[in-house]
Amino acid sequence: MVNDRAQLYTMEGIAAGLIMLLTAYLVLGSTSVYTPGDTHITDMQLEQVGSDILRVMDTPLKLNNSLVDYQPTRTDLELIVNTTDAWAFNDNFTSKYLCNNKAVAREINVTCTGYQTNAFIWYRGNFLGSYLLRYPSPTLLNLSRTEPGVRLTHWIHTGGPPGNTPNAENKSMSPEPQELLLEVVIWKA
Amino acid sequence: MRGDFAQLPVDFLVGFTIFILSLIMVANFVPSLLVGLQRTSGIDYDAVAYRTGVVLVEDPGWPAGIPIGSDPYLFFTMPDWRPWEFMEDKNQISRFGLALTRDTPNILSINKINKFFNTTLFDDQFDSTKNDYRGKLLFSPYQYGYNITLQNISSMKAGEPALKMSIGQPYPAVYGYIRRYVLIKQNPNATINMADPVTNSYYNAQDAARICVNLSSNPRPLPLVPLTGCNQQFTINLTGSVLYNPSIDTPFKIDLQREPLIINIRGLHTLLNNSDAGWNPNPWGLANKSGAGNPGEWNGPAPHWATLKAVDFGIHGTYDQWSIIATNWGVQIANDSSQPQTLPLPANGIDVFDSLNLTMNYIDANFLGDAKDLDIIFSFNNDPDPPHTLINGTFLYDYNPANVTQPVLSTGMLEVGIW
Repeated sequence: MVNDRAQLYTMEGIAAGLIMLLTAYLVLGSTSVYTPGDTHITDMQLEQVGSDILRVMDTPLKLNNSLVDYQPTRTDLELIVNTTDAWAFNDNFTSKYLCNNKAVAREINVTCTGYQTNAFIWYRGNFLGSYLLRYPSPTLLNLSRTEPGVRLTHWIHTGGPPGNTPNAENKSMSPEPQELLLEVVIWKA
Repeated sequence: MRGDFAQLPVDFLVGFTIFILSLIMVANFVPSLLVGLQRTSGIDYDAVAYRTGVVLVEDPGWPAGIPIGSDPYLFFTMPDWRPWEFMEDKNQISRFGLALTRDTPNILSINKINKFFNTTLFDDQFDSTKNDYRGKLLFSPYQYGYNITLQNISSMKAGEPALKMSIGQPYPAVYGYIRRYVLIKQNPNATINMADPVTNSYYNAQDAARICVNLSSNPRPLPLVPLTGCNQQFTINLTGSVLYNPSIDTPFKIDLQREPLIINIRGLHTLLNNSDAGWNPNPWGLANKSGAGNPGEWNGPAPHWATLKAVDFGIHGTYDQWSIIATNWGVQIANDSSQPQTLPLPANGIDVFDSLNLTMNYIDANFLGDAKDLDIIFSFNNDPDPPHTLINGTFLYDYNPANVTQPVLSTGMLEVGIW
């Protein structure tokens, strides 16, 4: 027959066990100190570099015709988006800027070996839509060993609708200036 | 029924629990107490490089000058309104920064760049305790090694060589690093070729009568100097309301408050009065009047120079006053051969045959701004004996690309390495 003898000893045992578990947890947790420097520096560098590149590509380099008005020329990025020129995007973003071989420092974090990009354009037609501007090379795509990527977004002002919307959308979109959202993801494959 | 055998273990348990919890908390605190005492081997060089990159690319430095086109009277508490790149005394500079203004991150000024990478002005010695880059950019007494390199990616303005500027030491094996992509704004300049037929006809005063008339009835009449002797004057007009038109984006503004004024006048000999028999249009070339001589050899009679008597600056006719102040703006006048002259010119003036260059570091915001115009007047000698110059008219320094080579941007790459 079950009686209530030694009930307190059982509770002590449980409490002691909990205390020991808590102790182990806290002691283990207290041995490492986080410093802000050792986390995500690579990500931060890549994000900074990427947003710099998009900003530089989307800045006009001179006034178009200062006698007529003071509007600047169209930017490289606007032209690329309007013509959906994936080759030109990659040529500019990767070859001209990200992997520029004039760099003095051969920095592992921002050199280009194995870096992949893809880019989406988001636009507003009748509905919110998007299409792929650039996709990574399938031969270099190794999904089993990818590291976390960084995601960059940039608003682009264009003089008209984007170049590669589906036909139905394209016909219904008014030829007015638009703001497009360019979304670029960079990761190391 | 329970006995009281277990009373002591309960007390012990409570005490022991409190002790262990205290121990755990202390153990938790100790490492964070020691964080501040970590040795230098723990410096996060990447963070220092990032910070330095941000200061260089997104900040105009200090002093930053007044906002573009503003009236300095609104900023009268500032003893000196000029941005740091125009300070002659480096002790007046508190912080380096290459951005054009605080509203234009990633857009750098070529004038700030040239000043920043001037290692004869700033101390760049690694071992030096007076290293200016540690004091005004890295902000640390710690002896960081650094390498800062700026290069262009797209080509520079037409006629300019590629840009590659660097300070600091070569990169070691391990270092912190950041790379920034930037745009470099380059200065506008004007070349006036008087040998061009259209330009020539515009500025060529055919006779003395026209000279006198035109001085008072030019496209933009100037209430200037007394017309004694009908001096031959060529005016460069800077209209503040045009230059600082708010609809022009900052990177494309002709901002003479923080950019040099560069004017090259070419082909001036075509404006000389060549009715004189001794006048030789080409004293250095092959085809002289006698048909003799070799290329590059002096083969003519001594040319008759035009004489530039004075260069004056003025707003609404008060020329002398501003001319005195303008000598502080780094004005340099160069003719074909001599060393650049500063103002005031010698009493007899300087001889000019074919070219005349005017450069100024900047124009004081008290004299050119949103609602302030400035005239720069070249007065040539009006010698009654031919030959003399036959020049008059007003050149508009503005956004007309036919007159002025407009400001352009080039893309570039700034690398910061810290160790």
